[in-house]
Amino acid sequence: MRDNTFARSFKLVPEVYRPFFFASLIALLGTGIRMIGPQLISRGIDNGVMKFDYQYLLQQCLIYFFTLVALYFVTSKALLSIGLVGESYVKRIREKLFRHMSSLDINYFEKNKTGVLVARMTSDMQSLNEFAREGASSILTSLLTIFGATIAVFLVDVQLSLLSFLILPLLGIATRIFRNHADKTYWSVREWIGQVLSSLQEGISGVRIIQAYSDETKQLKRFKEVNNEHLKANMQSAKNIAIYFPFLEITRVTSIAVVIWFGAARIKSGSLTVGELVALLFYLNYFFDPLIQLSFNYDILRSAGSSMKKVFSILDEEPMLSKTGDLSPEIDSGRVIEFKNVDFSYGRETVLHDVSFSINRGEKIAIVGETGAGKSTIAKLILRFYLPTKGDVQFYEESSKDISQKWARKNIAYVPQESFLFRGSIRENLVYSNPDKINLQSELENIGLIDWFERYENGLDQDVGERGANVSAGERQFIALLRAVLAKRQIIVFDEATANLDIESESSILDATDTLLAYQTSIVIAHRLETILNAEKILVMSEGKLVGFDNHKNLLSNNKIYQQLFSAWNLVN
Amino acid sequence: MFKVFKTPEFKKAISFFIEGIKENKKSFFISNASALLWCFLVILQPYLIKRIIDDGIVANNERSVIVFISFMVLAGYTRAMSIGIRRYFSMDVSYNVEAGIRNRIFTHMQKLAFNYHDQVPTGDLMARASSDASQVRLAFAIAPLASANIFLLLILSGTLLSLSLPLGSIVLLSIPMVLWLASNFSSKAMGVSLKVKEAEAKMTTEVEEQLGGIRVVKAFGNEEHASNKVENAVQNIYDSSLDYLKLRTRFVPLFELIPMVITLAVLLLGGYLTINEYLSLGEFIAFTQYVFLLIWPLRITAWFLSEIPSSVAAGNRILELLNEIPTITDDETPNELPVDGNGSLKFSDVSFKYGNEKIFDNLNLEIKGKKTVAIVGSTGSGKSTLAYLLPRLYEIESGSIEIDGVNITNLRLSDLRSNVSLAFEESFLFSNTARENISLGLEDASQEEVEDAALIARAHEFISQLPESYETKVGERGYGLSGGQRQRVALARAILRKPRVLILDDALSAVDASTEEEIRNELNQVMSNMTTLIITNRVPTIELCDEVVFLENGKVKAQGKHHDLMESVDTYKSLFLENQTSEI
Repeated sequence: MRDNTFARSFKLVPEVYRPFFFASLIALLGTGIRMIGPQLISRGIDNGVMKFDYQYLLQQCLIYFFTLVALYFVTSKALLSIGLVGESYVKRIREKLFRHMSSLDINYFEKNKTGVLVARMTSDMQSLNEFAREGASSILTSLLTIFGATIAVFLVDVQLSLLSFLILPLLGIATRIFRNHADKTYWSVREWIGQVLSSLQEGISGVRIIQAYSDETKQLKRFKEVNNEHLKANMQSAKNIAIYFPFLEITRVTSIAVVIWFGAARIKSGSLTVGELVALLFYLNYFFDPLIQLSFNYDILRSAGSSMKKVFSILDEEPMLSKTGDLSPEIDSGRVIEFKNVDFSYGRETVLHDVSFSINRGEKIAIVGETGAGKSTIAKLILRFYLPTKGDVQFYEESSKDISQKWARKNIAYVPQESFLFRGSIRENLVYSNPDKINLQSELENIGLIDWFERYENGLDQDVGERGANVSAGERQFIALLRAVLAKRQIIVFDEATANLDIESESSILDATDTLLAYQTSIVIAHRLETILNAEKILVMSEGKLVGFDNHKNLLSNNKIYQQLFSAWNLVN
Repeated sequence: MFKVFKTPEFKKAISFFIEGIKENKKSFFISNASALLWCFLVILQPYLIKRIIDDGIVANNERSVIVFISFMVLAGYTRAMSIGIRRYFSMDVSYNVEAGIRNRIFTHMQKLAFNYHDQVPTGDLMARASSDASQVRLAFAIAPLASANIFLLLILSGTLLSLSLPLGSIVLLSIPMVLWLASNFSSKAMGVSLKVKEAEAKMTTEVEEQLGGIRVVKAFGNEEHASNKVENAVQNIYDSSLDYLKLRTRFVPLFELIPMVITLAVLLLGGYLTINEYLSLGEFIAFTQYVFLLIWPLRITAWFLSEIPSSVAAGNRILELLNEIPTITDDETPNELPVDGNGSLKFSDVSFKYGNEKIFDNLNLEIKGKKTVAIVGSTGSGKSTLAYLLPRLYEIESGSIEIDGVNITNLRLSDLRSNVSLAFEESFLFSNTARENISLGLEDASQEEVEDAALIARAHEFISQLPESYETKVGERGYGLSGGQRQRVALARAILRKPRVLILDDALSAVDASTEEEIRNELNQVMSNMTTLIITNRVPTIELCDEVVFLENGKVKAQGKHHDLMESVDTYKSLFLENQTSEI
């Protein structure tokens, strides 16, 4: 953290400035009190024990006792307030980070794997937490104690202090070498633990396929390899510490020996008292003990720093879409969606070329085309997950550049191909779009789907499990689709997941939409013949170009590409 | 006091920990031996200081000063070395134990059947293999240090008592006090830190879910809702952490305070004794040094004791997983499939439940070898379940399933599963090369065989266009493939093994129509050599099959040709009603 990560991390949460300042003050006070002790012991020896003055000794002890009581309360308070600063810091970072993540454009989530983002919120925060819980207070009090002990040593005797610190430059060099090595192994440990965890993750989430293909031995071999590399990296870091640590001890012993050696001579000549020598020994321990503590905490500090760097890399991402546009177009009966000479590219390659079409209110549109023809891209532009690279996409005659993200989200529903359900009951999933407003019972009765849920033991309150694992793929899709319908948006975009759902279930939903939401404009990325035949108009895509936009009959009679597609679907008939 | 030592959990954890020690005997011995050495050298230090003061400084003997200082330096350096050695070898033990636990968990998890994995969330298993394993490691890392320190405490007590009975007794009083405090603290801390851990686990689940479903979250504009849910979970962590913090800050300074109070008592009483010449000055100062020595062992012992409950808990969570008995295992005297079998299947009176939900109730079904059969039924009728039962991914409740006349429970699992190949609808790819993904579970597949399978699955073309062709990494951390491409890789995987029974569970749902058509044509040749079950509701695919098995209400409602069923079975017909009424 020699770069500006530290300063930046600190600035990120201004709420902690004041508490941190006060916590430091309290810790400083604690250090001050701690330094009084050896001084009192020294006086007790010199003026009490050595002079056979028990009264004086008693008096010093009483003062010592009071400093100890004070020390307890001050340290306790200091630990608490530093801890509080740490906890609130981590809490704020977590909140900020997630809020920021969820505000980012879909684009970001397509480029970054979910697992990595989850790690930012969990394992990286874990290392930050470790720092906040143990590291911060320990590092702060260690530094203050070293600082206090140095001053105290010099106050007792300048000559002996200078002599005892003679060895410190050597310690400095050793520390530097240790840090360099520690940094290197630190990175390899992190790299490998990452691999171990993702390999584990894969072993667990892929366990079904592994078993079905009895691939257990091969998987275990792979895992063991990675696990072993992690072990090696750990042992490398253990070696660093095992070498540095004795060095610290040697420095301590040497400097104590130096103090006793010269101290003995000075006592003989009468320029030093026994009490002072004892005090010096205490202070030297106060100086070296925190150094050990610091070397313990170095890795904690290091990993907190690197976690913060990763946090910053996310916070530095700017959501583009939610910032552009603040218009809420008026919903009228005219053109709902219009593409005007739209080009689009995700990066290098242009995937849409000069696409123009318009869709009117209430129309049911199907998009067809081969894989890679640009179907999903069109859907994503309609969802305003992206803005066109060239040309314009308009909603109710307002450019998608100008309309607000919020408007888009509240008026366009989306059913992704992979149906995602949240943990909880079916009911909670169905009312997801607006839990307070949707009267599920009556809505379902209206569209005649209430019976469908009788298949479950607990009806609508059936628990769907993690990612809907407790219901079948087709049922998941049914619920996801119904969830979108119940959101009652002006536009619905439906990326059909082909074969999961049986026709009966699907058509019962589509019937429902027809009656319930006659105004709704629907766009389906179609994979099934039935869906295509049900559409009013069909957008035919081929290699990023729009090659036809008409109804089935006309397309079949005059569109070559459509004819080819259709014959593929329908070959058997 | 020390309730944790009396719990059955503790006993279980101890035997688990002893196993870990046994596996790393040598390092464990070295680390403990060097810890003992350290301990003696530590005790030596104040004694040397005493000699320096009494024999050297006070007696004004320069030679003694030199001799004893050299001794002190020598002892100090040796002590330093012993610390290094102890640290290295105790780390060696602890990291090896951690890695060993991870290997065992990984191995064991692979043996547990689907029904276990259905119930236990991925995050749960991950937590055991990651943070719980680390917690157990911590116990091993501290153990030699702690045992040396406990030993040090004992020797210190002896030394102090022999130096001065009254002073020694006062100092010794501190030891039970600190230990009592530590046990008090750890028993309170255990509950609170458990709550922190739970809160953290909940947040992880929450974040995983919200980010996993981010497309849905964003599609409904529910970012605020998602953030609030996560913030609630974060707030819970904060609240429980504060409880823990408060507890900690009340106790931890006490561990420092007590030795200091003892120093004070020593000063007071020792001063009195020295003034009245019961003690020499050197002894008195050595005493203060001894007391100072107490601080660390006490703290470390306290720390060790406070970590024990969490390590015991972590060890038990790991044991719970490792003690889970795999429900589906090899028969002790396994049969072999007949060499000349053609893959005929027979389900007799098969009943099966997921939890309480009854899926099959005395299902009977016979399929002749080398036939291609479509499994059809409405959503939730158990089509996929049928596919899972055949390779024994779930165990049936009653009845029997036979392949070529052999009950599948009498077959070696690896035999059964290499003969029954299942392509799932949700195709899982490993972060490995495309070739490795296709040759999953096969040790010796040649490049040619892999390419042949890929050709049939129509995966060869796009794989050869990948940057490193078949050696390109795919999957979560690799090259992103589309849903359809992933399915084609998974299909190639299923075909490559040349199984007796091939099951395609909606395995082409994300493949576009014309490619599917091509694949179907290719498959036709392959399928003639094996029994193929195709789970689908797509008419063109169904029509390709020799016969249809129609599932309804947990039974086979009808079996026969598609056209016959269309005419004779109403519920079957209604599955395709939409299809019929549309204008084809």
